[in-house]
Amino acid sequence: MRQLFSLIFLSLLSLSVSSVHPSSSSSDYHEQLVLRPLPLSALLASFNFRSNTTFSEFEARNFRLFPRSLAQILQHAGTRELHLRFSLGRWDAESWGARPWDGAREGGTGVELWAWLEADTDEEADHKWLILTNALSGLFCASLNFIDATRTTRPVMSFQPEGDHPNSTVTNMHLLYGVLPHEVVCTENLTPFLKLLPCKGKAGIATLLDGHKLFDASWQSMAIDIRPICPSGGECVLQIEQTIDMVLDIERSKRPRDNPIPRPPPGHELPCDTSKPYHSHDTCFPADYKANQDWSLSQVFGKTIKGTCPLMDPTNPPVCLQIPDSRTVYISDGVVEKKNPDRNSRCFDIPPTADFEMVVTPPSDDDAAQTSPGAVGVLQPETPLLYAERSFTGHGQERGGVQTILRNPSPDREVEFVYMETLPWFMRIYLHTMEARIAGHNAAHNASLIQQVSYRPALDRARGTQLEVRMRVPAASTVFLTYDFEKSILRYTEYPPDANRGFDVAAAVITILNSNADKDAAGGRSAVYTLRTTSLLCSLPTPDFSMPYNVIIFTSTAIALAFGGMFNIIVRRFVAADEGPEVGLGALTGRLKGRLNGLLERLRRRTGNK
Amino acid sequence: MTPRKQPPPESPSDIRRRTHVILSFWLIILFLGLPIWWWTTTIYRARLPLQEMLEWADGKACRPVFPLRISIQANSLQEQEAQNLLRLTQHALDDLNDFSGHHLRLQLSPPSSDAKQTHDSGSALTIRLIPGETTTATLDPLEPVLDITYPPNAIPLPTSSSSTLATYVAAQLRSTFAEEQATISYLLSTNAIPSEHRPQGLSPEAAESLSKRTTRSLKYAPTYHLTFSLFTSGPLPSSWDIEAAIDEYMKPVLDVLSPIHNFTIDTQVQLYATPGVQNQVLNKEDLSSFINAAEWPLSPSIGGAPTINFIVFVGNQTIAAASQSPEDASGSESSAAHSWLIPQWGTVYLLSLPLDVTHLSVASLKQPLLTFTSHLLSLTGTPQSGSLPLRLSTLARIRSADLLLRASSTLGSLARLALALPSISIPRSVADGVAKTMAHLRLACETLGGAEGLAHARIAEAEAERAFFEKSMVGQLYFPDEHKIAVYLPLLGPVAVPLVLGLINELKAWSKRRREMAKRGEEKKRE
Amino acid sequence: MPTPNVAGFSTLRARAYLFRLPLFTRAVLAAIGLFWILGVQVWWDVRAWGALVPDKLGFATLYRLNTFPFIHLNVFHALMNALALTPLLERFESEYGTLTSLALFFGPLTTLPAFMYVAVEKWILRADTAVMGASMWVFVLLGMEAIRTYKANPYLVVGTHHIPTWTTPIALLLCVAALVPSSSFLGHLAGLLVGYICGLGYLKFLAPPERVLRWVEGKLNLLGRLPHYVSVDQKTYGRFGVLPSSGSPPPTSVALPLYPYPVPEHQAQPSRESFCEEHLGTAAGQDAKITSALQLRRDPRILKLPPYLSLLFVVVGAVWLFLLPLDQYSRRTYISENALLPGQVHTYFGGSDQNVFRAYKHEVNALAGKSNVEINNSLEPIVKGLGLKTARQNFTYHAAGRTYAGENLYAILQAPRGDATEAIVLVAAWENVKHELNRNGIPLALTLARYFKRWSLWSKDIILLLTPDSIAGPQAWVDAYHDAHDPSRVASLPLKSGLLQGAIAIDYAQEGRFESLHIVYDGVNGQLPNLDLINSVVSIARGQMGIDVALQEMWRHSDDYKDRLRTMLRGMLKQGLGLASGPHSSFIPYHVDAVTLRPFGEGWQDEMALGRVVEGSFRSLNNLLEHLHQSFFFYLLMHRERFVSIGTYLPSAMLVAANFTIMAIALWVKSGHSEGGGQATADSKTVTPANHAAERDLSLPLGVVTLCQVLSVIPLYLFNHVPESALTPLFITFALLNTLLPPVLSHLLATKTTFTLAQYDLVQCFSLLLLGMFLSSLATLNFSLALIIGLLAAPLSFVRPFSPSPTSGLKRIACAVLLNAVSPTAVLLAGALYWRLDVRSVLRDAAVAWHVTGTYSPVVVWCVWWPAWLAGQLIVLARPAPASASARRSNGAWAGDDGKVKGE
Repeated sequence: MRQLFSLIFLSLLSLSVSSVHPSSSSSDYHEQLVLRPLPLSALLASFNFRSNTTFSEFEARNFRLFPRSLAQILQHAGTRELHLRFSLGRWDAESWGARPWDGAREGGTGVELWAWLEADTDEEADHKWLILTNALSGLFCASLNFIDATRTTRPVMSFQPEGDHPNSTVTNMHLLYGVLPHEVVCTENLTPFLKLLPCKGKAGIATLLDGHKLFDASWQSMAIDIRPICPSGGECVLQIEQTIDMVLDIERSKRPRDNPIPRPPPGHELPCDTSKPYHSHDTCFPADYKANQDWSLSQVFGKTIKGTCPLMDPTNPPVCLQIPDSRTVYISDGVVEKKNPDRNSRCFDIPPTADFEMVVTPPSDDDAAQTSPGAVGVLQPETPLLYAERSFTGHGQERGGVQTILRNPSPDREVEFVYMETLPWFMRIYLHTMEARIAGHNAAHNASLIQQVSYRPALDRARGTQLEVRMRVPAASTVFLTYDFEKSILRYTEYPPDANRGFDVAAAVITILNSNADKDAAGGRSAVYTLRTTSLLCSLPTPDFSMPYNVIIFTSTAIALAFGGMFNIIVRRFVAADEGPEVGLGALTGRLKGRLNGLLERLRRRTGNK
Repeated sequence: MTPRKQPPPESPSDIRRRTHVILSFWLIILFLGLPIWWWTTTIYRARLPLQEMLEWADGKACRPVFPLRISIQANSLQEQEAQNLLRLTQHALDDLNDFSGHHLRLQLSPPSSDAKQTHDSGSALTIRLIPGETTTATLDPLEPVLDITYPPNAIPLPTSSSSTLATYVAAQLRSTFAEEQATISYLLSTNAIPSEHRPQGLSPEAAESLSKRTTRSLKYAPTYHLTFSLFTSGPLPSSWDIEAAIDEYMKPVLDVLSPIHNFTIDTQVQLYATPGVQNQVLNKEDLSSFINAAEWPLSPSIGGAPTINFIVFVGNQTIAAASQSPEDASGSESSAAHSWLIPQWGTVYLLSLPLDVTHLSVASLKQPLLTFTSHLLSLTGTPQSGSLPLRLSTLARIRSADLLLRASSTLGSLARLALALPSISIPRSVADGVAKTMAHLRLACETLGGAEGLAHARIAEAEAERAFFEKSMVGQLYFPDEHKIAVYLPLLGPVAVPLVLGLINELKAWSKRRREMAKRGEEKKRE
Repeated sequence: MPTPNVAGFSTLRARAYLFRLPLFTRAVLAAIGLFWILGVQVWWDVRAWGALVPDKLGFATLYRLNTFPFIHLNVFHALMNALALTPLLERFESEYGTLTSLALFFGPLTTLPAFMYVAVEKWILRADTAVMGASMWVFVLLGMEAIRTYKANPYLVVGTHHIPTWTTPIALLLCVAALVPSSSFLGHLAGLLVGYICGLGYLKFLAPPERVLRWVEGKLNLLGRLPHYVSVDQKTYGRFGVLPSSGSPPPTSVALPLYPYPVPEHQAQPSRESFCEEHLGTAAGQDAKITSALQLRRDPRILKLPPYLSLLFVVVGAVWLFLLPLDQYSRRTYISENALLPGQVHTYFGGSDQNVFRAYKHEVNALAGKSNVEINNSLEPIVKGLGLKTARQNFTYHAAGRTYAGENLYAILQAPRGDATEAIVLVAAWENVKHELNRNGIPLALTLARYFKRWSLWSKDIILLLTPDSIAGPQAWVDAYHDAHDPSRVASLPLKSGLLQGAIAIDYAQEGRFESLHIVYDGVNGQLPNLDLINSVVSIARGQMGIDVALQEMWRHSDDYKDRLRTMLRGMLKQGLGLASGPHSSFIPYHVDAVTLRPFGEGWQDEMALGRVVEGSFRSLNNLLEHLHQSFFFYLLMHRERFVSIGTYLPSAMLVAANFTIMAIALWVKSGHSEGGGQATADSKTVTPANHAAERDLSLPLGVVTLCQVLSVIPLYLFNHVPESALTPLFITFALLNTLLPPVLSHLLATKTTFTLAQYDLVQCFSLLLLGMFLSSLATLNFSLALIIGLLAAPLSFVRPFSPSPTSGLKRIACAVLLNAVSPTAVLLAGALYWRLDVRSVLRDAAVAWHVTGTYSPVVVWCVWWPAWLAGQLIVLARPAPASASARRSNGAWAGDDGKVKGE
């Protein structure tokens, strides 16, 4: 919350009117980088690129700021609103606090896509969805085309359109949601992402974006949001917003590119806690929290910002740093520093062509004294509305359970939210086992926790389970949400090449609803905060793939043998031994003799007849 | 050894039971097992009219003939004079014509009251005979009308067997339709068409130029997607008045082309675009690699329609004069120095501007757009001679012939595929596609040269493509025979042996019983 | 007829047999012996003189044709041939008479094969190999035997195949050629051929005419003079006056040469035989099959066979085990999961990390002796300071009257860029299994955690687990991690990560530097980690760090047979006991592959080296894309680079288990035959063993077996729930009861009920059946346990009730005492004494294992082994009631049987 506020505030406050290009004054393009040091020597860098295109231009297909390749996909697939997420790693809420953008600009691990398509029937919507995913997978080099019917769901409560749509279209807008938890986000996804920007990676804050750094981050999320905005009075515009948030480990990213190996530093460089009695030249109790409080852009990102994008709206500063005023920051000349009255952030205006470098000095010791170790000289992270942690329970390959621990830190206000699970079809959940209980209370309290459940059961090999639960967590309490499921056995062609790794289960999406909105319209309540759990790895019973044919042959032989036995028993006759034909070699010879004699007889008769 | 006892005679009920058991086993196998096995393991192959398809491919099915009706308006002549002239001219034409596939037929349009009356739509060309002092021929730029003035003495007498005027008219017509005829004959010759349709006189160099032109032009599509891109090497300029420019300079041509093609247009601006070739002066070999396919967002438009790219690149690079190829010189010389045409892809125009220009005005876009227009025509494969309306009608005929041929060749290859791969499955949809294709091909073949002919050919071609690129046909499962053996043998072998043995024994026993019964019968008789 | 038992195969019988050997046979044996003695002296080379050398075969040396059978290479050769020859020759002679044998064996039967051999060897193969030895005769006789057997029953039925019986000698021939070194295949073949020819009777003309023999006999009165002389007349009706006819034995007599030659009374009544046979498919082969099978079934020798068979099985099973360490049977280890790439990465742990390590060590030393909670209180901030998420878990176990309570401290190093889907565990217990303070392990683990935090390449979370002890702590943690815990005793985990992919425990209690590394890998209940894990640790330690690796406390391992065997046996013992051997043990039941690294010895390797080993292993585990599944989960390690896989070792346990089943089946069949002939044991002439079928009454035997099984619950419960202090007295009392219980029971049975021999058979049958069943299924889970129990219980399948006779009382007592020596209690005591443990601690450990780690060895001991033993003891002490009644019943039953069969 506070971040957004400060952003708006800054854009109002910044007074610079030094418009460099006459053209850019008319342009509607904003980009901003917000840097925020986090405890434990982490640094949150959130890039935001936003541009508007009027509907008329969009319909006329005159694309200036809006990427043409994306636009024609949208037009072809009849997409009204699109949200695409590439995420990696996990946000450490305990130490980093609330998520940037209140979690609105991030997805679960892997790729996440949801969109509102304009279609009259569900079939048409599915068809358009297919087109959309295929086209996007081509555009972003991600295997989005694997989002098939089994991975697609139609959430009911969790997502609300962010843009303002005319009521005429709202009626036949279909929300489809697909997620690929196994997808590994990497550089090949970043490059097309940058290509969508008007200034590419060539100018402005985008110059900092570099695959090596981005994908070495502890947590990173790339987001693309396209939504129609209709300002009151003004013409409706189509807004595309690209966001990249990443949490860099300062210590790690300060390592030079050519030598990234964390060799132990020389003994004398080791920050030690000298207060320890046994401290000596070869004994050192590490004081890591002191280290890595000082950093500079070029150290962390490997380069400096090259000027600004000429299309950028110069009225709001491109770079902001959220750090107490007590810390001193050195910046390259020509750059204007503007401190924010809340004494917790400052912004920088960058001349269009100059490079921008920034050096943050280590905090002073008195500063270190008053705050807890690990969080020295950084803003105290604000506590999120809810902590969520999901994990599997049980073991073995037949059935298991899922347990989500939801903790409400706030002492006074209860949290109401929608918990959404998208499960693959081979996890057959037992809905009757789903229960929510407050830790350390008896069952009486648990009754009212779950308020509404919307459940769409899975069909084998056709579609996955979709489970949405609207529930509440009372103030200052922890709720366990658990349910059991059964693992089904796949056909052996359905296993992926690395079957023994297990199958990824997508992250659960938790959408915290606006509590002061009216209760009755549960569907339409706006989300104040969104968070996602980590994804899970579900291990299914896996056959030994080296021997399908052996199995076929073995079983069929067994069947055949059984059949033979049964058949004989049915059709054969049993008599006493001495009644049966004679036994042994004698019998054989006897029979032969008989045959021979018969032949001879016949011959003789013939001759006789002649 | 003690003498063997005989087993007690088996009760008939047991014998019957055994017989029934064995019989029922065999019945189940024959009437349940085999059908199920057969039904589950056969590959569905829809019946295709392979023979006809191949005939189409060989051009036996349809003989592409373009009867061109040419009406003569001779308001100033009397009926029989005109008729006479007409006859003579027709004779002259037939003497000249060597290509049966492309035939001009003259007809006399009823003398109309006013001279300003336009030509009737049915005919490809109208000849207006106007009395004058000398014989001249002029093509009307806006209408397919050929004005011919003739001296009064040129009218042939009813008795005379030849006339200068007639030969003159014939020659004029011939020259007018020469290119079209050449192109069509070239198309026929490139496709597998039996030789009797082949045109005789097609000079190699003519064929060469024709082939160049056809390779350069895009494959026919009902809709073309035009993408106008402004690439700037630096941050500027970042905006342009492309819409206005298009309306001004390109719209007319597009409107004219509209009966044959629809066009969708989009435009984009891309800053900081680095070309694939960095050096200052571009040589001929640089031109091909100038487009930076990796960086520039020039992805072809989704949804079928082929994309034609028109790129204005703002930079300070120029083209070396030596690298001008003759066909690029087709445009005006000034544009040639800045632009080149990339076959079947589009055009690049190098625009060098002063540094501080931030906005491209309509005026500065004039030259590029004119170049684009001319290149658009050659990209769509429009012939170059003759007046514009004539060129367009010609284009229609060429296109329909082209489509017809392509569709039938596709049919042929599909047939060959079906013959070559006996194990490939042919879904019903393919069969339907083929049927539809052939139906439309017939229609197209009948109404060749006309507008509906083009439409039919278009549909036929699309259907043929769809049938040929059927997905479910492509993914055919490979299941070698030794695997089948590996699966079947262990199961069927051991099962079959007892069954067969049981059957044989049963038959033996049965025949034995028969014999005994017969013997007993005889004995009875004897008694 | 006396039922076969250990004592039943008596030396008496063997001696009698030897004494009955006829003349010519003795002569031949004597000759062989003589020539061997001659061969001992040096100055005259008998072998050179007598052997059959193709080249030396001139007219003057024709004597070789007759001498070579007597001459042998060495004593074994001689002995073997003699053993093989004796029964055959004895039989031959007793049928054809001494004179004939003499004539034949110094004439055609020797010379023909010899000539054959020489011809082939000299003129076809152009070789010159000297042959000697009586084996050629053996094959001649075998050939004749085989032909005769073939006439009787043409086919041997194995599964669905019909093997003509005349081929059996060929099989033997091949075996000999393959197995016995320097045996002359050609010579044997020649012998066999002649044997066949002779057997088919084409050599009859060579035999001296009968009347001549008679005349000679009469003139010289050989019958009077020579002892053991077999007369010509005798031969006409063989030894016992019965025609050698189609009923002659199947080649089993060859298989057991020591076996007294059959008493073929059963041939007397072929006409009474009446059995099923199928009629439709009238193939002679099938008929023959059935007859032969049935003849086999009703052959008394078949009833005698099982004891020897099962004895054979036990012996083979035991021997098999000792073959495993040989190179031919064990394999070199290899890494089959290619993703592991052990030792392919540089390890950088060290340098200034050593300073940190020292600091942490100071901290840990300061905490020595503090309470668990204090320790955690001071360790947690350190771990938190490293930027790890920490959490604690309380657990309380009650076992053997004690409470094992504690608090686990664990921390999760979240993989940067990772997503909590997979995790690796680094375990360091505060004190190891021997309750020594893990004074270097804990600091090392902390330092490693700090070092790992610096890397960004982890694809899996790393969980640092610090437990107060080595057994209960890890167990509680793992149980809770997989939600298999009992919430009342073990707290749930507040913090979790993904699937556990592997775990490595550091147990570094010794001070100072170490020499080499000891990998402890046994899991609970003898489950083992994937072999790939051990292999990769080994290859990292040895290949990369140059640290030697030891297994199973074999501190010195010279890779020879003895050490390998010892390693393997130790491993098997550990596996059999199924106790947790370290912090890693509790992971393995959850399919989490884990090992404990324990440095030992005085060397120059320091903590950093161990740290690098751990780092390398973690890097390897980190590479894993899939859960470890490629390599073996069932194996016996006998050296750090040698192992045996389940396919190779399982048969031994299975054989041992099978011997019980066989005996059970045999007893079942036997109990089906009335022992009506039981009194007639004296004269073996008129015994009619197999022809009566008695109907079995099962109620009592089943009752007894069930009783035994039910009783077994008592010790199981007691030993697991009695407080530690009471364990020793309980054990003593139980041991005493254990010795007293069987006599009491058997007395009750003898007095209160009329327990016939057949019923005793059934009791034993059922108990053995159960035992065999349990063990064979157990062998697939815990091979070693099954094998150990099987071997210890092996005697049970051979004990038999003693027939009431004056001496049997003593025998019975002796046998009972012997059996007591292998009772569970006695074995337990002996084991405790051998390893110098006191019984109390052993029992306590067992109880703890039962309660904490869920070891099921006690169940196997008390509920599988003990009841079987009890039943066995009952059998030994049995006093069967006379069973005339049952005999009568059986006759009635027999008719009914007939009727049933004839049914159609």
